[in-house]
Amino acid sequence: MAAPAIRIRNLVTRLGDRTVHNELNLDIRAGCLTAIAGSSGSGKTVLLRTMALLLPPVAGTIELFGQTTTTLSHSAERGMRGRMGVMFQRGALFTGMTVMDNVAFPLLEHTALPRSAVYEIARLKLRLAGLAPEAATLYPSELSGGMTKRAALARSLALDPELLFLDEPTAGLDPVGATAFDELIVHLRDLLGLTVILVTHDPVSLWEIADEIAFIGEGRVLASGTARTLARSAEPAVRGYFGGTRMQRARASWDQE
Amino acid sequence: MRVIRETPATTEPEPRLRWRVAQRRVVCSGDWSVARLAAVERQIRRNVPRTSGEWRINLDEISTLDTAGAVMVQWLCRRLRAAGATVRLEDVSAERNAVLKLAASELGTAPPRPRSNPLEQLGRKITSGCLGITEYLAFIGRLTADSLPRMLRPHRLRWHEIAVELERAGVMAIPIIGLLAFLIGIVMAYQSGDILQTYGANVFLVDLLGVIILREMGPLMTSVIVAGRTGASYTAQIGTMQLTEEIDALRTMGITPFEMLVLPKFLALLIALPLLTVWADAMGLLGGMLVSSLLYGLSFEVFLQRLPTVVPPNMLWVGIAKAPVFAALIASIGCYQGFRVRHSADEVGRYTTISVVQGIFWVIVADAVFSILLFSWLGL
Repeated sequence: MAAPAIRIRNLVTRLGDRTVHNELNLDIRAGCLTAIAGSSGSGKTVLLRTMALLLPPVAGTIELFGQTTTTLSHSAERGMRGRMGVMFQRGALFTGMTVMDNVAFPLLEHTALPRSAVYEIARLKLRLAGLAPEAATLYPSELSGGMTKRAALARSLALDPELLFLDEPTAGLDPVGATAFDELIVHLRDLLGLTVILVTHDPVSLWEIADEIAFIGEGRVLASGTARTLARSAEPAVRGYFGGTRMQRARASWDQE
Repeated sequence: MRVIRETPATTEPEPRLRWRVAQRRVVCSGDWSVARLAAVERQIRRNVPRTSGEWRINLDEISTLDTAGAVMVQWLCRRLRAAGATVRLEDVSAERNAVLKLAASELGTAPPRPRSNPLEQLGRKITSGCLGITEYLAFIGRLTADSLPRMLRPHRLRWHEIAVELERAGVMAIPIIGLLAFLIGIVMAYQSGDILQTYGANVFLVDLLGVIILREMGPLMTSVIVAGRTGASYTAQIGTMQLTEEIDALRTMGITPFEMLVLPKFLALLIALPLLTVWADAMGLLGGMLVSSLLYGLSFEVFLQRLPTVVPPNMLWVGIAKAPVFAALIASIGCYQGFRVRHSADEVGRYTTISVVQGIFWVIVADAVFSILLFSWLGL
């Protein structure tokens, strides 16, 4: 088996005085779709931000692609960032640029390709994310919630990352849109061979698309495995989370299929 | 499925194209991933031969092919076709084929946004400039309409917010305004004292400094600093609140943003600016006195004794009376520009700049009007 894409050992993070993660260990397999679950405030997004090199850990190590992130040189870190894409919860599109320019921006910054090639690649990314060509010239303030998510996904894919971080991708989407987005993520994972790390609350996403779920609580990974194994977990917090009504409904529909 | 690379990306060979013109074959090799494609793109653009017949493209030696690389392969195909050849990709794996197909399919191009011609742009600029004044007046109107009911019942005013704004705009500006007024006082005394000394008219320094500082420099200097400090912060705050929909949230609660946000700022500045002006007057005179006593032989006693006899109290009151007018201009322009922010973070910056520039501009215009009005008609 290939080495894990991400290896986290004894991670400690703090926000102000509050310790968010305490001695957290986690391996994320390459090519897998790993979901990070946990109740609100358990530090899922903080973990994602730490893995995405946005938040330095207080202690412990994170290895991305077999390299320890805390000792990276400036240029190595820049290279590392080129190999990961992050889609933020609220999109975080640049409000002063059109959707097309948002997607083209990282390409123009990181490559020496001429504009015509960059825009061709950007158009491909928009299509990959399922956006109509008409959306390319719109500004972020003119987009609907679903389009914003897709535009943000297209931008996170701009540099053909190997690692894709998604922060609550289906939050705020209608059920049809959420299902379509889930399918899109799986499709992209298979097509581009991505390693996807997903923070989500969406029971359907957890049951249907996640290859593996890491359940965060009390500052560490309480349990990991598929939704089915977690539902039978010995940890009461995990069982409680997966035994909730909404979870069970998602499970029932998943079992039927 | 692509395996995550253990080693840094740079150890892979450079992406390359080799032309086998005799065999009508192109062999692609190396790492065709987005960061390293620029060289390949140049080759495709320049080196495609004029040709015909069937060309074969071999991708077997490509170690990594991402979507950008696939776009480049398709560019190569398109160029060859445009040069008159037919193109065949030599046995490609299923996974690569999926990506290549994706890049090949017609990428719908978006219709470009209609560009306006220069004449139209000029027209728009003029009309928006003229409409800007009416919009500003409408803003003042709504502010008045929303504020008057509150003003008539002072116990319902948001005194807490007013106090907070008063601290930010007034108390926290005391050091910078004091320091700058003191320095201006020093400079003016130094420059004019030199001229007066040649006529032996040192003592008139008191008259000069008194009139200029109390009547003009005190209120004007203070207003300019406040426009840069407080007017800008008003615009930035309200503009950002527009972007984050906080203003809309207030509206849905039945709270008008004018009454909640603008009125406290407006009233606070109306109180703060005259007080700051008095402070600036005092510090300016102190600076002037210091120079007069050190360089021009006018002791503090002489200065202070002469000051009330040659500078009528009207001068002080005229200066202070101008301050609330300037405050009203700065606060209303600052808030108005904030509300003009609609869509983007760029606009926050743009309107903050406009707010400061217009604030200072209208303060100086108002000051000129005051000078003419008061001096020529009322004889003050």
